[in-house]
This record gives sequence, structure tokens and C-alpha cells, in this order.
Amino acid sequence: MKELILNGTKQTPYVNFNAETGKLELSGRSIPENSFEFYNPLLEWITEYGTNALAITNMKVYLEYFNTSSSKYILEVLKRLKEINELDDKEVKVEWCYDEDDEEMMETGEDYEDVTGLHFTYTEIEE
Amino acid sequence: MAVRKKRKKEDIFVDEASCLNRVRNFLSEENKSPEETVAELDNLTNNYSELLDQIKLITRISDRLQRKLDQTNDKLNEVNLEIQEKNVQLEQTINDLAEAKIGRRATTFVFIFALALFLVSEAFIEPWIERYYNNFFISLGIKGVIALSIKPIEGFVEKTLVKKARQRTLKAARAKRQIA
Repeated sequence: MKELILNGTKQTPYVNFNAETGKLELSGRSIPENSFEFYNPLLEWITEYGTNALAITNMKVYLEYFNTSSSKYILEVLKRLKEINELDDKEVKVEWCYDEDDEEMMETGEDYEDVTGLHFTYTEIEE
Repeated sequence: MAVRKKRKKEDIFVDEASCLNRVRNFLSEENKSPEETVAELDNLTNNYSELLDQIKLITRISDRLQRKLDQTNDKLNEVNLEIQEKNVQLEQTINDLAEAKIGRRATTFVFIFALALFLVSEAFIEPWIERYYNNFFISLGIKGVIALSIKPIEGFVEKTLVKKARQRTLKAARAKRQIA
């Protein structure tokens, strides 16, 4: 399966989804003009990955800022990962990174953890 | 005239809208069996529950982001005020420095002028007074006038130099604005 790499811009986050290593990364700022256009390929990639997922999938999220529509699609991404997590012998670990003075971002991660039921680990990044 | 590009509308609730349409279509159908109605209601309830969870989450996140933006905005305003104050201070310091520099230049100018007057007085005026009037007090008076006029001349020279410097600064600022 082809990896999905999107360079980050001022409005869109950096994306690196690698099916061979099971490492997925989403980082930067997410305020795309059209969230559907940006996130739909990511959702399709995860669905396809789910058909042949590795035993352990590591999802790293390190977002600086995201808008409301992105928050819905991030939830969709995590829900698709939860579906993989519910498969036999598959586990999805989410590493939620945030800047050291950004407590709000950590709380947002906790909200996502509550809603999705996925296991999150929190990493404070020193600036 | 700039043409404003119309922003493409995006619908992030496509799935939810299609669920609503399906239920509406179902309700418009005749001869619905109780089993079908229950199944549809069950489906609608599940979707509604999921939507409610989403809305709760999105609202919480949006409120948090709004708060964060407000705090950032407040910080920016504070920094902006501080920069404005520093700018005023800096401008004042630059003016003081410019005036001090001009003051020194005016003093030098007046010193040279006074020296020239003294030389003219010694070389031409003094012999002329001795020749025609031969009066010590007239000579002393002229020297006194020269000495007393030094301070007002210095003030005048300083004012003129400051005025010129301000005009130069304004001209430079106007030129900068035109280039920008």
C-alpha cells in the first residue's frame, strides 16, 4: 500500500501515513479552506489500511491549531482508527503531543480520548 | 475593481444530511410495517446519539479554541501597547540626541563666529575707535555687545538647525511612504 505524505502548509497539516511501519503522523496547523477535500483522502487511506493493518498502529497527533470543521474530521480519523482497534489482534495507540504551555490542546486530546475510547498517551513538547 | 471570489461552500455534515433524507423518504412512504418503522427509528436514534456526541465535542473544542484565541489577542494587544510606548520613548530619545548634536554644532558655530567677531573687533573696530573717539568705554561697550549677543545667536542658530533637521526627517518619511 502506498504511503500518504502531504507537506504541511500555513493552512494544512503535515501528513505521513506509512502502512509498512504502521506509523501515522498528523502535525502542524489545520485550517483548510475545504476540510472535506483535505481529510477525505486521509479517511480513505485509513479505511484501505484497515483491511490489512499491522498488529500495532501508532498514530501521532501534534497539532498547533485547528478549526471547527477540522475537529470533526479529526474525530472521523480517530473513529476509523477505533474500528481498526476493534479488529482481532490489532491495536491502535495514539500519541497526542502538545506544546508545553498549551494546556487547552491537552484537554482537547482528553476529549477525543473520551469520545473515541482509544488509548491515548500525552507528550508535552518543550518549545 | 477587485472581484471578490465567492468561497466554495463546504458541507461537513454530508452523512448526517443523507441520514435525515433517508428518514424523510421513509416517512413519506405509505404502508410501513411496524418492524420497518422500529428499525428506522433505531437507526435514527443511533445517528442522533452519534451526532450529539460530535456536537458536544466540537462545541467544547471550539469554546476552548475561542478562549485561546481571546487570550492570544489580549497578549497581542498588551505587547502592541508596550511597543507603542517604547516607540514614543525611542522617538523622544532620538529627538533628544538630535537636539544635543545640533546644540553642539550650534555652539561650535557660535564659538567660531565669536572668534571672528573678536578678531574683527581687535583688527578693525578697536583701531577705528582709538583713531576717531579714543574712548575706552565705547570700546568696552562694543565688546560687551559682542559678548552679550553670543547667547541669543547661539539660540537662533540652534532653532534654525533643529527646524532644518525636522524638515529633513519629514521629507525622508514622506519619501518612504511614497515608495511603500
